[in-house]
Amino acid sequence: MQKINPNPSSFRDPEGYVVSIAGSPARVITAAGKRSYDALMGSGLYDALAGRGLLVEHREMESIPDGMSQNQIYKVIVPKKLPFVSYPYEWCFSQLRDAAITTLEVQEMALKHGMTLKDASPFNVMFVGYKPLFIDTLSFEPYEEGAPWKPYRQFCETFLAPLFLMSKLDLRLGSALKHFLDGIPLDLCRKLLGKKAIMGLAPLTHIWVHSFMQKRYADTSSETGGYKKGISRKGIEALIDNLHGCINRLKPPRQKTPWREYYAHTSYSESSFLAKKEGVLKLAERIKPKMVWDIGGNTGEFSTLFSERKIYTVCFDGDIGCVEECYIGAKKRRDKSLLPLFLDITNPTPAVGWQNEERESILSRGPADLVLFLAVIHHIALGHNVPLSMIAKMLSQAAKNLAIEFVPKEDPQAQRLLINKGDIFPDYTEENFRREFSKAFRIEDRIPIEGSGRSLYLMSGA
Amino acid sequence: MISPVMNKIFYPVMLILFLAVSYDRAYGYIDPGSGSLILQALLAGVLAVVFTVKTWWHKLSSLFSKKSSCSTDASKNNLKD
Repeated sequence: MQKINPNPSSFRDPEGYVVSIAGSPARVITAAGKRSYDALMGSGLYDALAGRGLLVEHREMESIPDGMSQNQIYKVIVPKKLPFVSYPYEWCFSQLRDAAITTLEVQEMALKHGMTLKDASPFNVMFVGYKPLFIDTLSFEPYEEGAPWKPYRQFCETFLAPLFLMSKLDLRLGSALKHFLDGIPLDLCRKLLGKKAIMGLAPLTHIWVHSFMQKRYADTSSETGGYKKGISRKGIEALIDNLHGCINRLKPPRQKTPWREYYAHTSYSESSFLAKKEGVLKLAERIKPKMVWDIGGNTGEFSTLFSERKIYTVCFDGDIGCVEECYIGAKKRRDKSLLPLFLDITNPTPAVGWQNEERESILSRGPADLVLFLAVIHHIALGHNVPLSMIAKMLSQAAKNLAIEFVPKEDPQAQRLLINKGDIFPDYTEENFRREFSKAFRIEDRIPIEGSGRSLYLMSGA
Repeated sequence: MISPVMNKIFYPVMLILFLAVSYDRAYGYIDPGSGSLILQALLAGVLAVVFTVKTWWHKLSSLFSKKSSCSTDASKNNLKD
């Protein structure tokens, strides 16, 4: 019998839930979900959405697997496996904006087929490289004439509010979604935006007035839960069109972030930089990885070495400006193998949600076949005072193989970190680095980077 | 801050408008929120007018642009033949 495990992030919808069958995700459709699922498939909406690459493709299992309660289950479908799971609080502004546009496009197409979305959360969207993909096959229901667009509030709280905050105040505010998983409360968004909440019709209506309406009718009881014949189909189309326009007009702020210009001010000569690239590729040749994590990957200079060879690469950086730039580049190149994500490696994305299990931590989404840790170690060890032994321990959790650059204390970039601190790190030496990393990895190779005093190491899991 | 006039006029009007539409139970598994539903009903009403005008404007302008590009299309087709 195959091992079936319920997915801890899927329990809210009575029409279905996600399980893992022998390690692969499958979606169970309950008897309650039969009507909506049949309408999705029968209306031609599934074919239209999957054909345009907007909805994840799936196949139906011929029979319900043993070990599942047969009488409450209508069907089990197996969606196409995604290369990597990411969450909205790891996305940059343009990723969240593109996920919002995908959701609205899905809704527009659904209406044309007599269907509508019953929820509109960014967790229903995943990225395959630069491309957003709607993944919740059970988010659809037949449209009933006069019914409101039920997810309007959810859309405003989970998409519009963080997008306004990032666009009008600061790119870093997107990470607020890590705390507010169900969306940023509109009254909070209104307060943070201040006068900017009334500058422009879009924030004025969807945030400012919306938050007052929520407050005013918070205690309205009983029968306001839903109604028919209230809003015309044209009204819903107009509302979606208006939201689409609002989001299309939003731009990321022209915000200078510390690491965006890194490659313009690097301490390398051009030949050292090329030598480093060649070295990384030479090391990777031996491993032939299928999944690469580039930790501290900046704007993706080294990640693209892999993604252009169709090796799926997640480029993590703790500077949201770099993530933005990396994503814009991947989108221009239509790179389906490069996923830029925000990650502060000194405070890695935790598991959050119900029982701290609903959304996975970053380390539990690994280990990657190869982790690149290039020109990062001095920032962590000297800048954040993390001992080498603890860095090695963390990386042994994240990586099956590791390509790591050791930056000696004498390096100008390392010296900059010590200007105000003084040298309080007597243990930060290449010898100690080798000793500590040998406890968690096996050192396979060392390539000195010409003209820099730095060295590239290839290590494999011990 | 909402002025007292708004409180006295705006909200009761909203409520009447909301209650004026006949409603029935059509719940979803997420809570659409009472205030959000009322706002949506209002916005949909106003935006529908704007949307209709916009759609007609697009149709009208595409009609004219089609007419003006008709001759070039015809010559292209001739070339293919």
